[in-house]
Amino acid sequence: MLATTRGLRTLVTAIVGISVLVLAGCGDAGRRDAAPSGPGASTAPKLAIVYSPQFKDGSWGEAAITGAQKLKDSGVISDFAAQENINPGPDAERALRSFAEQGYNPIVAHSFNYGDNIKKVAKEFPNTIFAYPGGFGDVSENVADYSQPFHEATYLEGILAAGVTPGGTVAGAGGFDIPVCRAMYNAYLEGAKLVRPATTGTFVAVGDWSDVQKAKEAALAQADQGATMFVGCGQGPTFGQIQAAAERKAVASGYSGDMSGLSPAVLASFTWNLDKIFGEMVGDVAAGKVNPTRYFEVGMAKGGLSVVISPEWQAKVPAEVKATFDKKTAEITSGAFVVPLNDK
Amino acid sequence: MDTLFTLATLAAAIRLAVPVAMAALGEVIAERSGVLNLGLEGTMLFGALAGYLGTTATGTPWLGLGSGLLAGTACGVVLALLMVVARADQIVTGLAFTLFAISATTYLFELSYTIGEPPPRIPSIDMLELVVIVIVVLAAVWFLLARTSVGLVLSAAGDAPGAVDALGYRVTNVRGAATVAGNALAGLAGAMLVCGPLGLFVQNVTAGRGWVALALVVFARWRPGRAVAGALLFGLCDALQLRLQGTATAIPYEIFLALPYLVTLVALMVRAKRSATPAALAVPFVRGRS
Repeated sequence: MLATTRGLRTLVTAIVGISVLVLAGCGDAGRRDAAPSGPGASTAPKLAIVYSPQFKDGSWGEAAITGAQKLKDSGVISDFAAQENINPGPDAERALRSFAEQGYNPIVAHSFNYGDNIKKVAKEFPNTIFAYPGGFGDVSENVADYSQPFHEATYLEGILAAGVTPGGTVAGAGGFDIPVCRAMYNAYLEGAKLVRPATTGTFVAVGDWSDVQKAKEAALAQADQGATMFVGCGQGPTFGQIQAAAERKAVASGYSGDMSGLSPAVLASFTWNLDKIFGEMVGDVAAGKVNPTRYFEVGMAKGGLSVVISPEWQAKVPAEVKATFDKKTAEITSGAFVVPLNDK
Repeated sequence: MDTLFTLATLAAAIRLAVPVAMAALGEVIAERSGVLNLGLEGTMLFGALAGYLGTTATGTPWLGLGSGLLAGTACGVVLALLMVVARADQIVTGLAFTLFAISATTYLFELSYTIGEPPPRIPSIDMLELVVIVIVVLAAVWFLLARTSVGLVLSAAGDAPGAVDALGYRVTNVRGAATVAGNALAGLAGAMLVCGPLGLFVQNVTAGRGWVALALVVFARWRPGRAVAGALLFGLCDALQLRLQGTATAIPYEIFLALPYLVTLVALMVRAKRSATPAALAVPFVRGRS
């Protein structure tokens, strides 16, 4: 009995093993991306997005879907496909390959954690742009990087915050202490100093991007230490800050999406207009500029970000503060002023 | 440092401890009966989503708590059928259930979500009332386990199921009931998180609190009072580290993030010598074979 079972097992294992090998062989034969289309290609490119949590988050993920939809509505792309809840690693590589085989170009892996995956898959499809939000110019051949110059927006939010609060410090928070988050916090502090020069602040790493309760407690701790102005990096930390700010009559900022509907405590938000960034990638694909690709740095000057003051705060911002805000917004948009990037 | 050990820190510790303590109490009941419920985190997630949807539907967070309790009970029935009646491997079943819960709650939450419209915030229940609930449940669980014959039979099912069977009790029924009750409390714990301090639901909102609760049960050596105390200690470490980050500067912040886990590990090592693990924990019971 035992011997039969063992024999059966070996057989099954062998069959499964052989099928896997055969299937893998088939996959390799079919794996080919289209040659560069070049200018004058008949159909508009198709865009694909891969994301690790869910898109519907009112923030980072949703910005990608909204941006892609805008490009589709305006006919810049013929179609887009989006896949969510894909963990970095083998799952992500499978999804990226599958999109490349179906002719999607450019392919956006919308999380920093996909960096290694896209570099691996990109080698197999040299005529397809693979982009990820590295944020440090991590470009090689057909691997593109797109920046998150959120500090430009938080600088402006800092001006507003210091203008509507009677005093108090700045409280920054992120899931972890990473350069983008630090830059956002530092720029917000600089903006606040423009109105109240003696302003100081603290930055806390919550230790998790989705733990809203811990983020709220971090914000309450900062409020206990005198914070009145909150700037969050990542959805979890930001949602927590907004809840805390609402309890403590402080002001909070929306992150990568208009969060004014979440609470009256939200003074201003910034939106990440990914249609501009994806639009540049699509333009490169249509023009045949795929390999080598480039670093897509699309800040406020190119419409990549915009700051939205919450409706109920519109009338409450003092006139001279609003004037400073408008002046700086104009200067940043025209390129006359560059918000210093300090990620230390 | 004088700003650290204040009432505010203690209040933060209690707020952080409440959902974890409730989930740990549920797990104590299940594990004392011999069922290792690794689906705790998943049940908490279902409870959290039920609490959120229940509150948005009715406008009353107390009904949200009720929904969480009901969702937890439903999860308990499913898990009891799998782990106790069908005697599936408890570790694999629990892990699979939690993975399922993460995906299912994500999907169900998405159905209620429209792009461009921030999901509604729900009214919150005061923390004081949630603390009272934890104290009442703690007293009830302690009384049940330590002072009633029902508790004795339940613990015996986890230590010597053969003896329980010989006395004429159905081990399957005892363990099934304990699994349902334990998961009901875990569902309530999830709802308490969402209907209490947060007032919103996000993907994976419990963020590992179920796993912390599981560790606390071992740390508490399957005693309800110690489980709640452990949750408080864990909450205090978290509250302290979040405050330390705002004051101290020279120490890398990663050390602060690791602080609660380091304390748990040290506590486990100190306590490991005198184990009180239920002898038949995670061992399925088959009549006439033990």
